[in-house]
Amino acid sequence: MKTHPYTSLPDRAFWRRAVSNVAPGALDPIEGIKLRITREDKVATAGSCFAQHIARYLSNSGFTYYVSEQAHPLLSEEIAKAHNYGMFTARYGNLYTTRQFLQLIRRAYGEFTPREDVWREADGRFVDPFRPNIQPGGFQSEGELRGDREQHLAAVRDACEKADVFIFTLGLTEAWVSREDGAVFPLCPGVSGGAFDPERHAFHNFSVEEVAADLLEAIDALRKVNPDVRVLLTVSPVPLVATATDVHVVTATTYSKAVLRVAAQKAVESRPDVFYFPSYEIITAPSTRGAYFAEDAREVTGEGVAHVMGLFLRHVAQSGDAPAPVAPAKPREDAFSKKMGELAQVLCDEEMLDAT
Amino acid sequence: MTGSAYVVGNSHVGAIQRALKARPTSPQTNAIEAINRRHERFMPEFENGKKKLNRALEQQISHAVRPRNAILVSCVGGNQHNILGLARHEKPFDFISPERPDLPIDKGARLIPYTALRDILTARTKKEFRIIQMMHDLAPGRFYHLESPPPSALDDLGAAYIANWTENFGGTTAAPAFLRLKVWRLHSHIVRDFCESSGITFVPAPAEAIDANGYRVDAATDVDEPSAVTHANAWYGELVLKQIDALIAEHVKNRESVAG
Repeated sequence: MKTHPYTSLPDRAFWRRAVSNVAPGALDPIEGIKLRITREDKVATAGSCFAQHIARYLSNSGFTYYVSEQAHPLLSEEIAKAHNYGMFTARYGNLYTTRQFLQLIRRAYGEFTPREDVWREADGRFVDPFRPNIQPGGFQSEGELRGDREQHLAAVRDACEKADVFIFTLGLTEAWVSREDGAVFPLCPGVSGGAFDPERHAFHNFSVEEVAADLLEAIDALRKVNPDVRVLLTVSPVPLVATATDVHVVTATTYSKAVLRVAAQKAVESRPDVFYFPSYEIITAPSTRGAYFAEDAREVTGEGVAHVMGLFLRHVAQSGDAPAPVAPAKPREDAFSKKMGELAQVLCDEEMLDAT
Repeated sequence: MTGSAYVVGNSHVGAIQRALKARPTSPQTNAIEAINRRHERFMPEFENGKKKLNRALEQQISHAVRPRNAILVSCVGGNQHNILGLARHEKPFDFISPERPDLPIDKGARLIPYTALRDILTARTKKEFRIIQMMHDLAPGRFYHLESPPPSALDDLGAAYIANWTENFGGTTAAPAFLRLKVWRLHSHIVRDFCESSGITFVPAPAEAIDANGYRVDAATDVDEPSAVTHANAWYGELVLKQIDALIAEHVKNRESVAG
């Protein structure tokens, strides 16, 4: 019998054994990940929209999804959701690029203050350029925007300092930046607020070197305030909605995801306690034949998310449970307001006695 | 020519009732009657889980507005701002009022976006809109809704009220007066918007009862009353009666001009 390096390799090393002969729903590419998350660990999330699924599954499975910017108890579940509370650990909205993630940490600690930091809309409302969709309809005044931002950045600091595990989902390499100071915007100015000005705004497609450097700097910044934090990286499998490059959106997506995947790998190899979870690979595996993408061939289906999170809970969270279906939101009831309502009732009755 | 008014409300009707008691009557004065719909006979009924106007009250209103010179006045509800913002919440909150951006912010309080607070208060106030709408349908074109009395600026009134009425609230204090003012204004904004969209005339609180900063003047508050922080007194009630007199006069005049 011939022997060579491949003869002793496990099944996972062979496409036929690990992919072709495995039912698509049973694909399990997680190998040797050493991260363990207990139910007591405070888990913070940030990144592109795919990170929202992780947050939801964690909290529905009894893990401590850490939300440092909670909605006030007065807000009903519906109102809190409409105002984007709980979508991520803090109310930062989607952080598509690693530069955005790094910039957020630097802003939270006063190391960077973008010059273009308020957009006044024609209708008199105000939009935060760094989370343009966070406030439905925009803020009512510049004072409200700035007050809310101050509170928000305090919550970001809290998350950085208290999280046991920080999960960051890398989403895009394409971004729009300020020509004045390099501030990066999550969306092109003019899309969800502000006005596009070619004199002030420039397109930038981050290179693998830039993404890797930003990622390492962000991790180092986190560790500066929270030395024991463990970092879990994932790459969003969601393709670009549009590209501003001169190539086809499919080609641009491949570039973007490849860069992000390589940058994530560099971070894993360069820093201790930084881990990678292959959600991108699970969703895009050829064996699924695209079944984990919705009809638009872009959004990830619930089945796809369930597959990813099932493996996540099994390997990382080690819950031993099947992923919990997304439970309906628990109705929030503010006990204080309930008491006040009862109080008012008593008062109304008393008024009757006095006035008749 | 005189007319009449039938005033229906909840606890805020008390100030009007007290003012009516103190008012001399003569054939030259308008006939004004005010009733509290929380009376046992008038407790709301329910239809598909939603409050509706009590049938006995509906009949009484219909009877009262039968004369053409009669108007119907509502001060239904009008306490949701107190429920939300009278006591300092165990997790103190504040917001920036676009109508009064000059008002201070409670230091250490959680800032809630204005639109979120507006949505909270709208959801709570909506329950009363159905009743107000049903009343409007009984007297279209001669139906008016009164703004709730503005809050008092006296912070200690709130504390006295809370201390008086709650043993369970141990340690709770009144919310700062500026927050109570902001919540009251927001509440009024929501009710005014509803009235305007429903063809109902919204009657603002009497200008004489509001000081330069927007608070209820001290004369409109009986400090000995345990409910003083939320409810105005008979002096305020008399100012409202004068507003009602003016509404009756305007209604009668309009009718006469239409009759030609």
